[in-house]
Amino acid sequence: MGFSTSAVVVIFTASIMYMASMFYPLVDMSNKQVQEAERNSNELWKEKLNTKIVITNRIGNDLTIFNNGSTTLDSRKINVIIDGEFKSNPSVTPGGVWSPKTSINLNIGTANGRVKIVTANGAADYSVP
Amino acid sequence: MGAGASATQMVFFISSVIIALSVVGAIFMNVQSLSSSVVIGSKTLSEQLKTDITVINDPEIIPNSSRLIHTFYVKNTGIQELDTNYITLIIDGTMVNNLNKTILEGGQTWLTGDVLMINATVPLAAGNHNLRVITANGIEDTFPFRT
Repeated sequence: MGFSTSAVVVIFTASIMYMASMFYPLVDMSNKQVQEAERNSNELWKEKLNTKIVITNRIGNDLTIFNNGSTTLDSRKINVIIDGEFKSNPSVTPGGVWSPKTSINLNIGTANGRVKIVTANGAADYSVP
Repeated sequence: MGAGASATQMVFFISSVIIALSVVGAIFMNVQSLSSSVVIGSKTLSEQLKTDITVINDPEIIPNSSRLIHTFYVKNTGIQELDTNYITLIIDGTMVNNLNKTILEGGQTWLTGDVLMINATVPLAAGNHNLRVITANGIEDTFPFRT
């Protein structure tokens, strides 16, 4: 093998090793990023699929909402829509942790109207007087 | 080996080194381009995986002003904060450009769980309609409703 060929082989080998050492960590990092996002997405969908709420009772201004799924929810993060209009800061008791197979009470401030309750992850139920 | 042969060898050596470096340079540029594409692609894909939105309106009653300004409530049900500037709203296949967007929880960033109120100025006849809301990264929610 001539000296020229040796030089070319050395240049190629060193360059390929350098490029591989640059390329691999980036691909590895990107792959881990996507894998983590997939895990998060799966977790999100699992929670959504396991969430179900039911409005079990409506007397006057008060609604009783039952957590009929297996996901623990946050009662402070529900949204209330009355006759199509968003109602801010609904009065909920108890506030905070809303365990499965437990109910919360919600005062909607009106005895009439079509009510939609939405949880933080989008699960919903309706009540019509 | 004469002086002529040495000069020839020298010319061959220098030429082969120059050609090898040129080839390596070209490959290196491609590898760099590929690397940055992989990084950008994975960032976009991971953002898409973590993005989800839900239109939470009551499909029976859409708040409206004189059948012209319709209000839609869109909730960020993913785990990715979103940019409200690049939300696209399509009603019955037509893109609505006149949008007024407000995050009901306040702030400038559309965080997880926040509700975005969109006032869309679009005249809608009484009847059934179809709404599509699309985020900047292409995640969408479809919402059939009645006016």
